[in-house]
Amino acid sequence: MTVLDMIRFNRHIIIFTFLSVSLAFGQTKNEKEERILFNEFPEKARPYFGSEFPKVKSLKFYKETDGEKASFEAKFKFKKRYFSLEFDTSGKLEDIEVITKTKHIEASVLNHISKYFDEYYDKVRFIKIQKQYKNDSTGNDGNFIRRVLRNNIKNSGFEIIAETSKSGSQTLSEFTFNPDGQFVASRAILPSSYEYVLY
Amino acid sequence: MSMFSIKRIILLALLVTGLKSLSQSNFQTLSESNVALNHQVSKKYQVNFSLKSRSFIYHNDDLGLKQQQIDLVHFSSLKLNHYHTISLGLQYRNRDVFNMTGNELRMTQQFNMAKRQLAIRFGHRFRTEQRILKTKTIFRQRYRFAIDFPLNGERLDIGEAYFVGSVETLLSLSKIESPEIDQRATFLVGWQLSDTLKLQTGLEYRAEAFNVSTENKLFILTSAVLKI
Repeated sequence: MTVLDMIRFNRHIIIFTFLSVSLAFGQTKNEKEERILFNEFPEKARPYFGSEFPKVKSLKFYKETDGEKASFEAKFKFKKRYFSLEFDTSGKLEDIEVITKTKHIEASVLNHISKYFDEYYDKVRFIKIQKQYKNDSTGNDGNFIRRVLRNNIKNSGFEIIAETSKSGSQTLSEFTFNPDGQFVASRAILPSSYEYVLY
Repeated sequence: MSMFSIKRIILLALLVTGLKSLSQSNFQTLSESNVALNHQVSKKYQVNFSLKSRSFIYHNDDLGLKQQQIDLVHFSSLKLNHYHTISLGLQYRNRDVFNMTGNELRMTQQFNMAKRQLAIRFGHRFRTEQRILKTKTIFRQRYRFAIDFPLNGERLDIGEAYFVGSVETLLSLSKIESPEIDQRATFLVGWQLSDTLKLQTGLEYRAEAFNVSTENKLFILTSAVLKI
């Protein structure tokens, strides 16, 4: 074994140790998403799903804990679209996300988004596109929900999970775009968060 | 899908496979345990090594544990993109040490697609295999459709359970025997115990060579999958 080989070998050990340590840290993170009953949902938010709420399919309630922070989500299907309403622990509506397809995005907006990917990447594959509706109104949350359901309000942005490739290397990332399709931010995400069974 | 309906489906599936198998005379029950090690070599390349052990529980109208074989398996997988993977596999099966016949060397080529729709993941797997035995070589083609989903919520967190269900059809061709078609159905429940360890257990029902003369087998499966 030459000195060069030994250096290479050591580098592998360092990388391996680094990986094991990050794995160990990953384990200590206390993230949990669980299905909950309607009566475990924040009391203030419950009336929105009462008799005035439109007829939706598969309405489910979830609680998400990330360390000390908790949030609540109501998910359902309405007019063939998947909605996710996020509330804080007090029952205040934070945002609404709607899973969408490229064909349901306004042509000029989609054009801006495509331009961004064309400019910075060789290839892009959209995994999940969500329209976001941030609730920054000081008014009634119920009204806000109704307006979003009626498609009566402009979204506040897009969240896109996409696999991009550049010079032969692929990355899975989460991109944020503003309502006009202008790039806001991106961050790489771990593909492992999507895989749990050996295929 | 609510939790209750999932439980009902699992229960029904177990009941149906169990009853159907018991009503047959040419019926065997076997147990297969598997320890698998997965290692992500690079972003695109993953290796898997596993050790499988199979025993008869009920065989030739005889109840009792009798080891049939041991398998050493290696798979090298290349991720093409977020949905598609191709793999090459090499497997060695030894039956000699348990005084059974049928040692085997097997080569596998695999193409896999998996796509997630909210909580449920759908998988299509295509395999071609060359099973080299002492007396013959069997060329086998397989297709498997699988679904899996966490049993609580849309995301699998540590400590949570998940369900895997699959159906697979296999066509075996060899020079000296007529083609054989097998059908398998598998139901598994798994637990993600930590970031690196999951345990799975479940049942697999096999109708082997059902186009010639059906042999019914019920496998009790257990496996530990370790990520290193």
